[in-house]
Amino acid sequence: MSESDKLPEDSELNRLYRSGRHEAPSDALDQAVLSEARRATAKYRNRWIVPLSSAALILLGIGLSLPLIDLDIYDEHQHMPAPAPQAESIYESDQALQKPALPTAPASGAVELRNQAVPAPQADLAAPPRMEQRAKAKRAPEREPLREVPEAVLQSIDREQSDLTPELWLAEIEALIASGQDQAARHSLNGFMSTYPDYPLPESLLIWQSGH
Amino acid sequence: MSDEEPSDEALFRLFRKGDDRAFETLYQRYRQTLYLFLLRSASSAGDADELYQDVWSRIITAGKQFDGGSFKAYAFRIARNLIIDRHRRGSLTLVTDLATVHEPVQPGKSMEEQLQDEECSERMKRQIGQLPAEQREVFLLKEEAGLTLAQIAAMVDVGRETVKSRMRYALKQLRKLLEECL
Repeated sequence: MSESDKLPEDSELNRLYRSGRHEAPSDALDQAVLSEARRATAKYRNRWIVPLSSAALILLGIGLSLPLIDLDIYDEHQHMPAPAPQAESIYESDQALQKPALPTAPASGAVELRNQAVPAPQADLAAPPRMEQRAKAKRAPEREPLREVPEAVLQSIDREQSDLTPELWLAEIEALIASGQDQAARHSLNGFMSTYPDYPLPESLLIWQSGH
Repeated sequence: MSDEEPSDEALFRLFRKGDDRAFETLYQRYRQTLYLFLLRSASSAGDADELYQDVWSRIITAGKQFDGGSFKAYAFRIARNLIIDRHRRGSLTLVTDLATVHEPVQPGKSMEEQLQDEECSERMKRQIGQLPAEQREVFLLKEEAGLTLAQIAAMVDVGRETVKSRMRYALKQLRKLLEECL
């Protein structure tokens, strides 16, 4: 500190001043101040209690209600009017949740398609609990394909064929059968029958259908 | 203060978190010096007591306003502001009430010497009380609070040279009046 930063001093006056420093606050004054401080510190300590307990309650509430919400979803699903053949097993209906149903395919067709991919019925018994399955489905996007022909292909066929005349559509189905694409032909035929339920099928298709 | 002792500011932060003992330590550090500053400024034990409790009350309840600088400067700024407020309201007694001052007996000194010391000490207190307010304030902030030139200048809101000038006048006046005691 330089001289210019110092205050003027007088050591003798300073000594005289120091010799007279004997007064102090009374005990009563001390106690009054300290009591006020203790009251204040109690407040400071307690100020966290309300927000902390509120946060804990909210977390507890969320923790308790989440499983209930999950169960509600399954309950609703179980109470929904089941498209009879699709809800044959819980496992199937869960898979149906994962995979949107084909809009034009009738129920019997869907069962047929699934039967190709779904293992034997004993698998239902060995299937993990629903919650577990759901969690698995959430974290594992890869799953066993339901059918050999990709769904996108079938849907595009549906879209294209619905624009065709009945004659042309039937000709296409027959072409699919001729080229050995039985699954696509069956799918297309199902679509045709739901679009034109009263249209008479050619004998060759009726024979092919009964053979399958 | 040794390195192991927490600073005033650290104690004050602990107090704000609810630590009673931190406040007690802090209180012991400033108990006497704040009281004497108020007593010399007010020159009445009754006023000093009242002001003293007000100062600590402000420190306790208005902790959020502490700007994180020096706690000592913060505490004495509160004390100074309360003195000014009280003086403006005209309720502050500026005459020394010597009857309330207690002086202990000093061992190792003759009765005559002790009486002379006491007389000089009382005269000094009286003369401090008679100084112009600006000079007394600077003198006490230096001698009692131990604030630096920069801290006093910032608190009083005047230039450093002004503070030095006020201090020089105060010392000159006191030396002149207390010559036989020095």
